[in-house]
Amino acid sequence: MEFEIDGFRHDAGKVSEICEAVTGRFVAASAGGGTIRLHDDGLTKEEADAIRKALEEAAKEEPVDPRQKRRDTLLAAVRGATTVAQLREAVAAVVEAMR
Amino acid sequence: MTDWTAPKTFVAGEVGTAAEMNTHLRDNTLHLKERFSAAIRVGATMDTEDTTTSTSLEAVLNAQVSLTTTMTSDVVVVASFNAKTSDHTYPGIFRLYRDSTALGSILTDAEEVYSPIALVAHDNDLAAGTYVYKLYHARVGAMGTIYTDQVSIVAIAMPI
Repeated sequence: MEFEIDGFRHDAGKVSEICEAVTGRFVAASAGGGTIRLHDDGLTKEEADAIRKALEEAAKEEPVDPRQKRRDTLLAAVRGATTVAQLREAVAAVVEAMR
Repeated sequence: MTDWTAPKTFVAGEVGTAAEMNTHLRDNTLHLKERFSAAIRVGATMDTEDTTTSTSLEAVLNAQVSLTTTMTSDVVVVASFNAKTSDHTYPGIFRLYRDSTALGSILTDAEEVYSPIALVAHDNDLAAGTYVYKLYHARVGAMGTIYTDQVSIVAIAMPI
């Protein structure tokens, strides 16, 4: 399934994220130059319509740098740790990301 | 198409006949000229970032060239491009294809910033016809997004 959405500058990760929010399952996607391809033959018409609408909404937002997004996620895990075990795990993820 | 004949070695003082000159000089020259003229080079560039979360190899948008050969040929395909992954734990894989046929070997890369990559494939004994050479990409594993950009792809056909 392919969509052409003017002004869509997000990456395929964002598309898969949107699809998952709509369908509740992972949908492999590709995105480039405003063309979005969904690699899932099992999508219903309702799901496809809802995804298209969500993609059009997302096209109005600025894309987030994936590295910044990942840094934010890792730091949130460190800040949100409430036990030593959680903190150890969060720091280990940061160290792994810095490799 | 003119057939090739192993060139005759003339001895000192020997006078070549018309038939010999036609076979060894005219036809062999024509044979070489036909192949030289049928050599083809096509190239294309793409500078729009294409991204994927698919674990199945799929064509990078607009990263392709179409090649029409008039003789059986050996084809060399070269692609250079920039690629990165959103998470180095989950690398990207890249491969050249002729239509739906995979060529060469799969290349893996796991840099989180764009880095240059080159792929080369040798497509042997290809019958005359029209073919499309494409660059494919995919991600490895359950997470990550693969980014491919600035693709240059060249195919050179050498008649055999």
